[in-house]
Amino acid sequence: MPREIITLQVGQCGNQIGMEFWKQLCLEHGISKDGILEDFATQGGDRKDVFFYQADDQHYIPRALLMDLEPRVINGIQNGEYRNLYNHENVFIADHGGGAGNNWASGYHQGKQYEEDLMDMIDREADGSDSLEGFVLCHSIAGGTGSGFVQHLFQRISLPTSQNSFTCWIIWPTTALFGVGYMNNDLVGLLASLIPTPRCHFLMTGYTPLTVERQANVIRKTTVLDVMRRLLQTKNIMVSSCARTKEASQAKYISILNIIQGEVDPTQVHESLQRIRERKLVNFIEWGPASIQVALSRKSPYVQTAHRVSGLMLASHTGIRHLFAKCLSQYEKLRKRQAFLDNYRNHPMFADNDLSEFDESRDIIESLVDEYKACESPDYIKWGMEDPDHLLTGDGNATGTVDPKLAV
Amino acid sequence: MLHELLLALLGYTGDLIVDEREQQDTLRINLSPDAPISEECFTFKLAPDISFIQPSERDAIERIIKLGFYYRELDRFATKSRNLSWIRSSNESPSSRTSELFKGKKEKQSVYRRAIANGIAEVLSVYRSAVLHIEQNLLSDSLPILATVTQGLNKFLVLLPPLYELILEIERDGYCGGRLLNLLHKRCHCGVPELQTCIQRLLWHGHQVMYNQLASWMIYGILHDQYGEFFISRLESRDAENDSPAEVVERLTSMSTNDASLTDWHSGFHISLDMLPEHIPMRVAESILFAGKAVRVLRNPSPAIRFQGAIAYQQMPRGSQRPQLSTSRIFFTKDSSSQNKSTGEELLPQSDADKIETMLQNLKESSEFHKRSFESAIDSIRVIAASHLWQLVVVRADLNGHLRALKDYFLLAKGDFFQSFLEESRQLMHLPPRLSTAEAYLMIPFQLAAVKTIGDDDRYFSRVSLRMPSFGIPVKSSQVDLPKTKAYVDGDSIVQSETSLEVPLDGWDGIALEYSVDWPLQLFFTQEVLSKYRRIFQYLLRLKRTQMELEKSWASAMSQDHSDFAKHRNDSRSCLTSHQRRQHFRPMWRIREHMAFLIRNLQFYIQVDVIESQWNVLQSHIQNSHDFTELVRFHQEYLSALISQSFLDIGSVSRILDGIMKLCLQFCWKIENQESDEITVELEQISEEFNKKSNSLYTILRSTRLAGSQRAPFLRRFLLRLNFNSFFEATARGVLNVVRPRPTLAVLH
Repeated sequence: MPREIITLQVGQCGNQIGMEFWKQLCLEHGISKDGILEDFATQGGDRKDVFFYQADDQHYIPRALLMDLEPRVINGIQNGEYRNLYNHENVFIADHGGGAGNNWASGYHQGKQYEEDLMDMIDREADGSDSLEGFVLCHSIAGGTGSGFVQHLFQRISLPTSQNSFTCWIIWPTTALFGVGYMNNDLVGLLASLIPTPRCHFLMTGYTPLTVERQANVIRKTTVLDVMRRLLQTKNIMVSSCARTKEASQAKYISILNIIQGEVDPTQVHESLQRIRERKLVNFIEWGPASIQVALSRKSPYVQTAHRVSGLMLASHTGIRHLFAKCLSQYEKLRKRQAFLDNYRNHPMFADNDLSEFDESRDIIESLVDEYKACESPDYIKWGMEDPDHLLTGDGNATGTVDPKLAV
Repeated sequence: MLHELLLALLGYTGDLIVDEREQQDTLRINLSPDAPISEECFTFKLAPDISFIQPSERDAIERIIKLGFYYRELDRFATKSRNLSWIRSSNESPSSRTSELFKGKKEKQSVYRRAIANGIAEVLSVYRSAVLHIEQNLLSDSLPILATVTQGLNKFLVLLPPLYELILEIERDGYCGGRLLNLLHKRCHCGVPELQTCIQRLLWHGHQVMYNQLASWMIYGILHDQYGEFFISRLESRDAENDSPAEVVERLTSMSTNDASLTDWHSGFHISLDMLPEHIPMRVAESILFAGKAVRVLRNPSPAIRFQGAIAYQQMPRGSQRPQLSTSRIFFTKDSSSQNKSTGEELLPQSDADKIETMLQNLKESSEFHKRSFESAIDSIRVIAASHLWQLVVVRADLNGHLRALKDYFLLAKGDFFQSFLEESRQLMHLPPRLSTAEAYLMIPFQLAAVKTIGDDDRYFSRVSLRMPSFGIPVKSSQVDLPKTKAYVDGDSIVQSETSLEVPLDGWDGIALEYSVDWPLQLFFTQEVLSKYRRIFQYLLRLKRTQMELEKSWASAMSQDHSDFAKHRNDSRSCLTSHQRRQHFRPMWRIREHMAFLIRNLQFYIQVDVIESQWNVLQSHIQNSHDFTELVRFHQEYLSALISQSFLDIGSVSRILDGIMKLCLQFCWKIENQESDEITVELEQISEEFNKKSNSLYTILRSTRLAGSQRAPFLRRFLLRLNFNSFFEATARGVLNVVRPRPTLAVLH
């Protein structure tokens, strides 16, 4: 028995992404659309049981929970070609089917309603694993189900399972997608190496070569150096940080982990690292040790790709603050005009015009932006020491979509 | 008169021709019987009282009859050397008189000498037939003249005297075996063609013996050497007693687990330089030694492999992901046809044994010793033996699978297994080990981890076993054996071991693995090799444990931070203190990250830069090589590269690394056990100490002394990882320039 990982896919986006994730995983592990192991994959020796378990009839079932407040996407999955893959007990659709209407508060509120049902499902799934490694949460940060519903869920789960790690693949409304390679490390190890300070825990991902199926005939030369160099280019990073060029040039990496997949000679990794350093392709923080860590992973023998090497980057980058800053400024504009607030006042949390939740969130985001900014300067170590009141500055007015606790 | 002469020529003296020595002996009876004969040049003489012979004739006759003397002496030598009567009774003295002189000395029998004697007898028979021929001539000649004799025997005048000298030398110095061949070889180089041919013939006879011995050695693996004359000899057990106790222990353990044939392989035989003919280079001799040993192994498979044979074959194709597969399949199909034959024959097919024999036969038959052809033949024999041994070890015994298993477990390539093991045993390892029970307790998490991560997939796992060395059986883990054992004796607690930085942090660092190997893999994985693996394993496991503790402390600090955050949200009034608390923790986060960074990069460096790349090198070697000896060499190179590249052999560096790991563990435990808010002074001290150590590590690594050495290339790799954003360099520079004395620095305990 390995250390299992349970996937929670919530909301429209979360379920769509989740579906793609399982498709890929099935391909890589040689599991058919019905969960039956393909003949050619019986000798693999790979770790199928991290993400799957076997039913009585030996077919593989994903450790996945599908949840949504409206039936459209999940129905699509249940009628699609992968309909036999999932455990149908693991699907949750709200009775009324009305969704959360892109409203965080609605999602949060409904989360409270269905809490018991959901926790039952999660408990059951967690009980089926010997040593749970953690959860992977797929959800969008915008929208109602993805954000509000998830937050409630999260608060509940994280209480009894504080030993386990939580990884959320957040889908920002601007951009999309994430990628997961073989994870050969455990999640804690992976994350611990990426997050040196507790607050700056928003990771960015990059993936190369990124191809859509119809472009697959364009084959690039993929050497390790190439892959690693491309990963550092902003266009391959999946969160566009909306920064102006001048500010972007000051942004620094706090940490980088590259997972390189394919047949790679370790010496090439070293050479690439050397090149990148010589050419100063990466801008690292100055207040602590940092480097590009490279983890090598094997490619799935069952998937044919045109690329010899592919790479996934997980990075903590101060540039992400511009994203938060932009959210903040947009939020302030909306808040000033009192836009959309009525929708929120309908829900108990914001009843009686109590908008403190919004204010708090705003403060937190602002301090986060500040912290990221401080990270860019070499004397981050001293940051906050001489300004303990820092958090209390700034009073906002508001509509908000993001709660930083959701991530990682 | 002429007949008298002819008789004398065949060694029989009479009245006319007398033996000088006999005369002298009768004259000086008190002559010491031991007096070496060579010092006085006795020979046959014409009796001095013969007056009817002209001085010129006397000269001619005396010149000729010397041959008679030589003949007699040579004949005596030949008879004595060829005399096998000693087999029946060792007391019986050889017939000839001179040999009685020798009887006092301890006469050593020698096969080589007998062979030479055969050669000499051959020469003598030619000589005899020449004399016979002369006699016939004389008889048929109406006017027999002396000149016929002289003319007929002239050529022997150049032959017999040197031969006589030769046997004198042989007898005096007791030449035998390879030294005898040496002597002959030296004598071969003379300007007289007849003599050269003759000695070459003798040499040929000598070589016959050698070839026979070679054949029994290299075809049957039998050392056939009654008198210790072959240049390959069995190591006397007497020598073993002189070894260091450790080696004796090692030998004993290997004796208990292995068959005798394995002991033979490692220490049973050696090249005796004394007996090695000079015209056979050491390299060739080593090839011969190897080939013989290989054949010995191949001819005497352990009973186990006979049973395994069939099973191993069925299992082989299962490891389908192995790159070796293509080759092993070929051998698989090739061999399976001969499966019904006996295993021993299968290991060394008769056809190849015949091939070796033919090669040796050819060498044996050639009249002259050709160094080139000899060496090339030996070389191809060695290749045959090595490739069969290769097939036995690599293909049949699945060497690559075992190598991979060793990498999986000893080099921690199965990271998830050890992750799980360390996690399961974490609670246990928080307390100091108790000698008597530690191993038994550790077995539980070990088995649990195995169940969780490995299951039944890995058939090599059963060979791995965990050892917690207890007092009395020293494990060659590191240079610090002695103090560690002492700490154990003092009362199995970690407190003692913390007194010195050179001592590992706690007793758990002594955890070791054992790997049981079946015949014939002990040939490859010697105890020495395994102890090297163990050494690397202990280092890596400690590294992994440190890294895991650091991650644990990250997780707990992270959840601490989250709960603080939640508190702050729920109770906004306390947010000031909560915020202060966060600031309070900040240095802790920083030092943790610094530690984790160093440990992580060291681990990445060793696992990827060192182990993976060396492994690839080894794999490509294994795939390209079909020669057992080469494999052993490659594997040795692999291991020593691992050790040197992970700095295990640089005392200064590995000491600092040990110290750093120890600090990290202390740090983690402090964090974990801290109850109150106060980040203790101790933590600060640990940080201080750690900073100092990490700086000195960096300084040492980039020092010119190391940079100039052969390690430079891989040192640079590690440095590159460490100093990627120049943080280390900046810090090191800062520390070098600004020395901040801290009072708390010195006292850590």
